[in-house]
Amino acid sequence: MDVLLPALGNVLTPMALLTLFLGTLAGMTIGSLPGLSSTMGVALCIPITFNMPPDLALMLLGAVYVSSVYGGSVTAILLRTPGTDASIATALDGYPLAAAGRGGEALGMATLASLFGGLFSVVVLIAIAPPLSTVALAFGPQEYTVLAIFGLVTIVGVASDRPLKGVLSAAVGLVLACVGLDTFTGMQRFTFGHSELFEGVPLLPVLIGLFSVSQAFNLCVPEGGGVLAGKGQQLKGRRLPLWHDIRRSLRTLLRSSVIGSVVGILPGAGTSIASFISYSEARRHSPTPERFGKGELEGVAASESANNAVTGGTLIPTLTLGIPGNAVTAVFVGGLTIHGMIPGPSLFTQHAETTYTLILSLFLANILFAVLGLWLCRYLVVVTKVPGAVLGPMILVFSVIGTYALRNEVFDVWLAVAFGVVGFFMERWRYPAAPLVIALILGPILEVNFRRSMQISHWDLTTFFTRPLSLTLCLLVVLALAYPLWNQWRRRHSSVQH
Amino acid sequence: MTLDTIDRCVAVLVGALCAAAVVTGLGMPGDAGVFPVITGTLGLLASAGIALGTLRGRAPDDLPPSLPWPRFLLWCLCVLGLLGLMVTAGAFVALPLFLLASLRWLGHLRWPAALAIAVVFSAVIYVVFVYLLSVPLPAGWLVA
Repeated sequence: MDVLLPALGNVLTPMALLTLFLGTLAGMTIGSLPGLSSTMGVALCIPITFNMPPDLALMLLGAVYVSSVYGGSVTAILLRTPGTDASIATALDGYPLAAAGRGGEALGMATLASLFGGLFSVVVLIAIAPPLSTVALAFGPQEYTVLAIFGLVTIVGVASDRPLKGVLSAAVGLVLACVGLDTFTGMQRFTFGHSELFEGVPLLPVLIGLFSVSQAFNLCVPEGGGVLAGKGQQLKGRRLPLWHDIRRSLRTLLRSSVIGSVVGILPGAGTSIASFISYSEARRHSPTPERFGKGELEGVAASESANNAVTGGTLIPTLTLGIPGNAVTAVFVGGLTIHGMIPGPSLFTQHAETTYTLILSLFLANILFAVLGLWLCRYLVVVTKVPGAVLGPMILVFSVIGTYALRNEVFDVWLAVAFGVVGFFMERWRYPAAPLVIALILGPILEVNFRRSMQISHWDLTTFFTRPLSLTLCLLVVLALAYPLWNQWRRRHSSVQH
Repeated sequence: MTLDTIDRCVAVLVGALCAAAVVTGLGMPGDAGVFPVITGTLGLLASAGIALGTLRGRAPDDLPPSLPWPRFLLWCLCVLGLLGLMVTAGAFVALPLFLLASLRWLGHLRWPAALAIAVVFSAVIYVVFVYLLSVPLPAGWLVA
């Protein structure tokens, strides 16, 4: 408490509040643009912080980080163009809601869920950071292998009502994940001599292609197309979700926030896994699972609370152990060291006041983006009224420029457009695109950890069942596989009886 | 073309891709080929499953939505033009031209409206990416 009070004083100064406001606004904008990730947002702000006092610098970086994760939901819901992979699950239900004229409700729910998840993870960060980091350190290659499989099983289950098409999409993603230099042997795999592919198929051009570019095609190609096409120009829905809907989603919010915080702590696990696991769990626990994927507010709540809960979770190993869990926290570590703070236990002793100032500023940044988001959502939904043939070219331009901005490679732009065409036809032919992207993210994690496990155990596959954590995750995989089958059998059985 | 025929074609195409991954993986030294073999096999099994599924047949109305080919080809031409011009003529020549063409011919906006949107939107892109984010977009002819 003797550190928290001075830290609270630091956060509430006018200069700190202005910094937080600007950081939140910048983060929301960056997160909503295809191709501009949280990592890029934080990295772009680091040079700005060089001459700032450490407190303000970290506040700015923290605000950009948390609000950029939320920002991705805005375009994911209104245009089905998720700014980052964290918002793919949000688009599954958010976009159908926007297309039904209920974009305001979806945005409102996404904002409240992001606020809930973000605040929950900050509380976790303050309360139980050190013991949770120790659990994360107990994760070895076996656990990561099974976790990646769990993520894949989950995504295949939730992304489509035709699981086999989901498996095919995921398999293509996994094959694409093999492209590049092999991490262990240095051998070129499926690169065909292209140096641009040595580091593998770049994720963001694929993500932008499958979701943003394909959406530009969807809006532009049909005559009279648009988000609200065929439903008139009226926005039927409310501006915000009803209290009844929020209350109905409370359990989902809490469950997803726990999942997000826990997954966030695991280095390399990422926000997309957290979103999809939470989405899958929300569907599993829902009395109306058939509404998921067709415009269910609870689906938006699950995904958004989880991906924002990851922000606090990823900071736990970063701040307490100095182990960045993902790319954005690795950049964050760079920001800390520039200001003379070495991540690790010393942050909570030598620099305790600055560290707690950062943590409390995250709390405030979450509230700020929620206030801004709730105020803006009533205006932002107007974008769904714009004709598709006007909106489509603009989305395509943002996608092309955003993709180019990643590495300044024209190759990436061609790749994004190629995947845009693939995504366009995948949707028409009812193949889900999300498993392909998630498999591309999880593929390298799965391969590296599987091969490490095999090297450690001398190719003994029972290694996955001899460690308690790994065994627990294996049981979760079996549960995730068996539950839908059992549910299907039960439904068939009851319909036969009736 | 029905969804069944499309699914069969997709199964054959992806099956061939995965078979190639398996064969190439088997020829890789050490354990570098293990993952391509596993993932390729998974893809082969899924392709076989989808191909077998099509044999059961579907309801006659199970057709994909019809594609307006002229608009699709026009849009593809616009996109290819954008990418081609972006490298040679530069982003800030290609972007307004692409927007103007697609807004006029696909969006059926009047020339002044299309021109105004194209110019304003390109200016927004310039401010966000070049001015605020310092992204070096291809300059093309404007570099001189």
